[in-house]
Amino acid sequence: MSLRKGFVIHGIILIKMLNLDPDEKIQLVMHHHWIFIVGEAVLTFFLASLPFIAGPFFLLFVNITATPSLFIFFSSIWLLIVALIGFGLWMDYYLDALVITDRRILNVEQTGIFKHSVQEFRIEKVQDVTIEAPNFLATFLNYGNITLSTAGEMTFSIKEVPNPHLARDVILKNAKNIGGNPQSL
Amino acid sequence: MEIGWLILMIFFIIYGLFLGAMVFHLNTYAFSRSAKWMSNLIIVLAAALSLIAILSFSRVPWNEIELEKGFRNSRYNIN
Repeated sequence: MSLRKGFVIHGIILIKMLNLDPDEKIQLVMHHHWIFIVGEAVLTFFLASLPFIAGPFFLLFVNITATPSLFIFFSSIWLLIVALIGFGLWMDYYLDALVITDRRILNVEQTGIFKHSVQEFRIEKVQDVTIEAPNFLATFLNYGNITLSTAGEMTFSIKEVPNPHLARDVILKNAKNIGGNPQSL
Repeated sequence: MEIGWLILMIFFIIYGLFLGAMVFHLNTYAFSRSAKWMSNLIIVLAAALSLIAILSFSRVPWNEIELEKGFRNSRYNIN
């Protein structure tokens, strides 16, 4: 979770990237909870370690004189592919974010490798903010799902964000400041 | 082993194009400087691994490798 620390850098990049107004203030930028990158990191490290696990079996099939170069060659090609997979998984994690400004809420979503979408609505249209901790792990690690309902009967939810209560407080505070009448559930 | 080099080069070209597209996409939608660091890291890592792959490929005695006794005892043998 990126809170106020680093907002100067965040701000410059986000204003440019999300076309924010120059006087629009970023209140909160939230990525998914770190627990969701752990599983992907473990998978990537497991895939990266496969050549070293499979190395002894490789010796059974290849003459010992040719083994070092062949092994290094196939291992490096494999690691190149794994590095690309790991990079793609990290990108998917990193480019998903919830951005709350003093005027808008933006749900930035990365699907797959190249699909990118930004859903946004004005903060005064927020009517309900619902927080859900789906399981014990969510309670223990302090993450949850946030569902926002707007005046136009539109709802959208952001899953697995860290510290959802903080996000709710920021949304409600800004909505009240700007003149809306949201309810917290 | 010209065909081997050709296949390897085609692999690197496709890999480079794909990685370049991913880095471009990341930097277009980046939130912070960590995207830049991660881009540089993956580029350096990919370059280093590619260099190792090319060097090790050139050192493999491909022309001297042959299958010894068929699939049942599928050892490669020099000579």
